[in-house]
Amino acid sequence: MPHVEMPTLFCRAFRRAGLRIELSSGLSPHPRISLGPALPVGVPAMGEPLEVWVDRWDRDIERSVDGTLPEGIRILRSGMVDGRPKLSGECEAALYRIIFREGSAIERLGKLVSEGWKPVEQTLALDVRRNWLDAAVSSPGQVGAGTMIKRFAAEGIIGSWSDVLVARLAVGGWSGESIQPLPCC
Amino acid sequence: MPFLFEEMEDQAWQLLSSVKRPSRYAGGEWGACGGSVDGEEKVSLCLAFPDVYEVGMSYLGFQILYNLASGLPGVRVERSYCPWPDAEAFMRERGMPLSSLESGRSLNTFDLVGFTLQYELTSTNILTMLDMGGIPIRASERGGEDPIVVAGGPGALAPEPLSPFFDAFCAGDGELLLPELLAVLKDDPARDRGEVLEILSSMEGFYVPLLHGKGRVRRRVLMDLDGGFCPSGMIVPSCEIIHDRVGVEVFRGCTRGCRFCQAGMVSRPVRERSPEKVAAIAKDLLESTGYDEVGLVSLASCDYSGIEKVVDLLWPELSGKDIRLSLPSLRMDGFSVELADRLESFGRGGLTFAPEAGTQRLRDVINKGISGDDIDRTFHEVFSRGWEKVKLYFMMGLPTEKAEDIEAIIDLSVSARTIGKKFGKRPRISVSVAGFVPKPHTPFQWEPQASMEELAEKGGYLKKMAKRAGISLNYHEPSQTFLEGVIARGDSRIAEAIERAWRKGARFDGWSECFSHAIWMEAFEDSGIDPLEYSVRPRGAEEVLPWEIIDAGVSRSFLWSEKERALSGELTPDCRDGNCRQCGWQAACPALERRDA
Repeated sequence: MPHVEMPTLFCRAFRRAGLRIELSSGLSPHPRISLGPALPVGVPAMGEPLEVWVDRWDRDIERSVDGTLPEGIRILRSGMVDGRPKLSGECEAALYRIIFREGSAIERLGKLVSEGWKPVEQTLALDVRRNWLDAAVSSPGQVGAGTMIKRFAAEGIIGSWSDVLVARLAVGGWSGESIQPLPCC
Repeated sequence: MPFLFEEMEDQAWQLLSSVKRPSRYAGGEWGACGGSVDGEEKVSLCLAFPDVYEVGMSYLGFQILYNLASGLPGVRVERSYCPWPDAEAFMRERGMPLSSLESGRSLNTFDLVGFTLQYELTSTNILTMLDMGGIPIRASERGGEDPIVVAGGPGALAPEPLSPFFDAFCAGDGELLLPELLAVLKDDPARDRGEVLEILSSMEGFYVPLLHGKGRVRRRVLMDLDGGFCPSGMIVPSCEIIHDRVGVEVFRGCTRGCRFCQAGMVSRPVRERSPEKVAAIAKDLLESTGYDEVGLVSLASCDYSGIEKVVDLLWPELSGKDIRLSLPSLRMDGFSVELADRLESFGRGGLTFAPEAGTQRLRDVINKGISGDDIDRTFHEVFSRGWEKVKLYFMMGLPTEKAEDIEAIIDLSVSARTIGKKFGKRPRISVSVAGFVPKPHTPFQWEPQASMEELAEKGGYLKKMAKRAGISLNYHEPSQTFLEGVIARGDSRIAEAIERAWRKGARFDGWSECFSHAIWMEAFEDSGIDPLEYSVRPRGAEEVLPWEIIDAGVSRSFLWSEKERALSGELTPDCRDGNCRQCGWQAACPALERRDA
């Protein structure tokens, strides 16, 4: 599902649960929903932040909204936030899982990583496994899967996107070791 | 962190990460159900739409039939759409069959596969879907294990060009036909293919090409929309589609009598739904879908006698909840514009109208029923109420058309802009011109279609003149209009050309980026068919027309007299206020009953 269509999707789910989403002011009011950093189509997301202005919220409502979401989309946790800056600005880090179709690619990558190579300057942590790489990066609004894929291709590790499968496992704060969910009140 | 590597190894995942718009193939939408209502599966149905997901999901008919079938005990209903060529190539390379979105089962595992025929240029997509679904494309080659393949929709009323590919055609309203069809399969699972087709061929409204003897198949009509099936749920797509809203039908049929309009002729008589029922359906669907827009759907919703009542009934439901009410098309009169203004649902962006022809003479020929004054007044209303953008639909190649009719398209568009300027606006007028296609079961079914060359010349002229006048204008590709015309009035010989074109690679012929005129011309030649015989040739009064195997309800004598009146420029008034012209429905016409009451 395209990232840009997520607000509409959530909006409809909230309506089905009987909730109203506040509209923005201005000439063409739209529901006040914001998402984390954009994600290319074809990259599944396993834990994304979403901020939405609703008229009320509690655990029961969370359950009922969760029950009105389409297959494949679930609320992992929720809480109230107050007077925060823009959500995407709060996301310090993102964790990507990049699965390589060719075994030789992961070998080359493992070697480069052991020599201290980083796919991007914003790399926070790298973990090379059997046939995949988990990469945590900072500034997820600026640096995403696309940037890393380009670097892999430039290093000759892969040819293009079609040689990998990518998922974003988490987006949030950075503890120094791992991605943390954004804090709620 | 739950993330299944097996999923990513799955071919379906790889398809999703490799094609354009993967949401087309993802499924999992809200309201899509799968299993049967009582947990028991006696018969499985796959609704197959021969175009891409965004188009298919916008089709209200399948939303209604899906909802209807999913409520029948023992019935499992799923959906499938035609894969875009990139997905087709990916799937064929890996031997992946075309499957349903709900359970991912290949089409040949269903008991019944039901297509809808909305547009002639989806014909090759039907063959793609059958073939990729593992079903022999010709009915005569199907065996006991294969599904029964049926088709409904307007194309089923002129079925001959596709007759070898279908086991049965369903003529008329699906709310009546589908439950009967499912019952034949459900009642006795031991029935073999031959028995099922035998039974269907004896039932009213079903045309079974392989078994058909003499006689015409009568279209079935749901006379009481309030008493018939009313939808209580819809599938809500997870990505943007073309008509992304709740749709509620307010009436079927049309009393206007535009002579070019197949929909208006084949959906007679007019049957209205009560405002109370419309409002109740809208309320239910808005709640269950979470949509923020509801459209009142019909061939001419401004003609709905209950329109004010529906707006009054729905207003309390909508106003506090940021929900918009919309009408799909506007009539060219002050009332419609005022209504649009009141609904405030059209935004200040733009309004769309269809004058269809540039001169009064030609509008009278096609019985459009709007005058130059109506058009003028409409433009005044539009711009005085604050709109700046107007889109106008016209046709070219209409019967009796002359050079001045074409020139008048530009004059009329320029006059819209002039009126807009009077109101201190910066009006933007965009014009879309379609090549006229004479359609079966209309007064123009005997008329020659304008040649491709004529349409190209007129289109080119319009484009040039519009550019000079500073108006944006587009016209439909004449070679696609030509093919649409050939298939529309084709007989069963056309099927061979369709199959040959498909084997040569024709796909999504309605999409200009996919269409290849050359492939089709080769296919016609290889089949020994002169397509001009089907397009530019006038038909005589004595000729038996291929689609007359279906009795759509309007009589041949009515259509012929309307053609004669057209050619002499005589108007036929709207049935609701004029004299009844005995179209064939005079014994059971609700519009007539209402007028007389």
